[in-house]
Amino acid sequence: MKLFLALFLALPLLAQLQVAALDGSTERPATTQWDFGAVPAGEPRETRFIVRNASSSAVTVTRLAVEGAAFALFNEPSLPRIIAPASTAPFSIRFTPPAAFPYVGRLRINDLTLDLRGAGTVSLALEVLAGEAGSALTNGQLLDLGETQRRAPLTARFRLVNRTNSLATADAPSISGDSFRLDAWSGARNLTANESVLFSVVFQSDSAGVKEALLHAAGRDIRLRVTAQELPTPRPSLSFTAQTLENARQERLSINLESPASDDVSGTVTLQFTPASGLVDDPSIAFLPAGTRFTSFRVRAGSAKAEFNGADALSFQTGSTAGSIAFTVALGAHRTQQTFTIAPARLAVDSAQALLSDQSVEFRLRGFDNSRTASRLRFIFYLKNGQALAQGPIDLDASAAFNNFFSANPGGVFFLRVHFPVSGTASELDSADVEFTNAQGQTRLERLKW
Amino acid sequence: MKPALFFLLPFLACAQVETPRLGVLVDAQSRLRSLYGIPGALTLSLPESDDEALSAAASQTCAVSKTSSSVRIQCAGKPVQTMEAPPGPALFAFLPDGRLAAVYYESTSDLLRFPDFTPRLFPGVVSLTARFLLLNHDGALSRYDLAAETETPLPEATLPAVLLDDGAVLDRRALPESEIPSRIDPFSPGLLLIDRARLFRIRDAALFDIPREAPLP
Repeated sequence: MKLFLALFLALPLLAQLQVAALDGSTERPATTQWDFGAVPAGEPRETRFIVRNASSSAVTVTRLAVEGAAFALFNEPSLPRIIAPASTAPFSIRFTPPAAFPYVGRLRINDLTLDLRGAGTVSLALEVLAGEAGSALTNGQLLDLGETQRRAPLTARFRLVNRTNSLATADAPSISGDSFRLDAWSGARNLTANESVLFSVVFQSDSAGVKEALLHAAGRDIRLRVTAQELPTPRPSLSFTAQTLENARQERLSINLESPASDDVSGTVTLQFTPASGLVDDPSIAFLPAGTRFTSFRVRAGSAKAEFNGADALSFQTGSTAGSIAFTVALGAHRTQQTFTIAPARLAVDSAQALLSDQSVEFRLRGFDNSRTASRLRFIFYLKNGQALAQGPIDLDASAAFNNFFSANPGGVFFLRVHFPVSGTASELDSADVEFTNAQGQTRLERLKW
Repeated sequence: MKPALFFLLPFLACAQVETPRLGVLVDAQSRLRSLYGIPGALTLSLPESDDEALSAAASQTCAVSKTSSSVRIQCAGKPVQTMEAPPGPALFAFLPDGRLAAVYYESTSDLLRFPDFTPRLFPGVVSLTARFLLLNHDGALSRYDLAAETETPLPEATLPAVLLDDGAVLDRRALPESEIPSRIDPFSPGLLLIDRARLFRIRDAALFDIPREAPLP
């Protein structure tokens, strides 16, 4: 009766604490015992546990210990430890069988006890090979096999060796994990003393990153790790249809790689315009046909030439403003830049037209002034007899007209219309010279004839 | 030496500066857009109206567009005239001072000359200027002089071809092999615009300058 009463009173206390083993993030309840399974003699197997307070009031853990020579507690909390309702405390147990025998132990948490079991086994040694030299691997070990490039295979060689004096069976290893596979396994067989059998693990991945797999061999679980690097991108270089750039040009750039790309790759090319001192941005300096300053390109696997929407070159226009134009290519980790400087220059006329009527003379001139400093115009008129008009050159200060126009418009392009009223008949006029002045000097046009 | 019987009045001279307009084009969404600047420094305007244009052309001063049922003329940015028109695209010609000289309706073969609006039937016009027409007689090209009312066969010329202001014919022989468009037409979307002595190839509302060293007539 006394024993029954004691058990009856103890049950709620025991039920307060619950133990579970952690397999990754999965909890596996351990109610009365936990079995570590078969472990190669002399090698550890570690398991993480939690103890949970399943009651509605806090519990103070004053005792947490394991018994048994093959079992060791580690990563345990300091005691006493108060565990709030529904909270947990973690700890770990390492099972290291000294010999090939079964082992028992006990876990004690306050008044809670849990039987611990495990068995040491005679096992083959598992070694990873570097040349002919082998390094022994133990259960649970992380083996970093190093780095390789994406798509490039990496092979690691392993050896199972019978270090005992008895016959032992080399069972087939297994591996789990994307991009890893077993190779060169000759099949399960019995090994005599010091006899060995080889196998390989081959890694090959289409994607870059750190990859892991779990190799199971000779009763051991070995974590394998390989870092797959992105394929190296060849360095790009820029080439242009012109050695130097001038305003009002359409040129083309192309991008070549120092060696063919091993995979399809894409990059970007950026145009940046920095206007010369005192000038403003010029939106006409841009890639064609979209009129943007940023575009992308692709390089096909096996090719060393960039494609821009299927074309092997990218057109751009140089606008009408002095400054520097920088082209930056970004491809993988590479950045390549080339900068052209367009200096302030004398005014340039793209087309000129002279119209004549009885009452007026009109000039229509289309061009650009990349420093936006146009000022004086000079007109020299010639008669049909070849002589200059006795009236002499006519100077016209167009500073205000140009200043007003440029202050409201970006870039240096202009369409200039100059109108001269005529007294009398102008039919004897034959031609005219037109001269522009800006901060960089004078520009004289080819003689305009009517 | 005979003295000049006139003189210029410099004190009354005036200089006016504007943005150079190279022309107008109809973009891929059939919207009218102006092309400003000079070769190598071009910008394209935003769409100038929501009307769906079939054809368009411009001088420095005036722009003209053809919708499915009308022709609209704008000068100095302001509408100056809208007139009813037969369906389909049209060709346009300008006078040297920028005013509209003629409209040719492809669907009816009617040539409408300005300013008297006298309609005249000219089948097979493939290009026109203020003075000349380029006629296509089943593949045989000829040039018609509107002032002299004479027609001159052009046995060497081949389509695609277009007239320049002075009546010279530019055809595919003048273009580098790689630059030949499917049709040379200064006023249709996605093709070719001619600005006096230079050529511009227009494609999808964007513009490429044919290299300056390209042979020209």
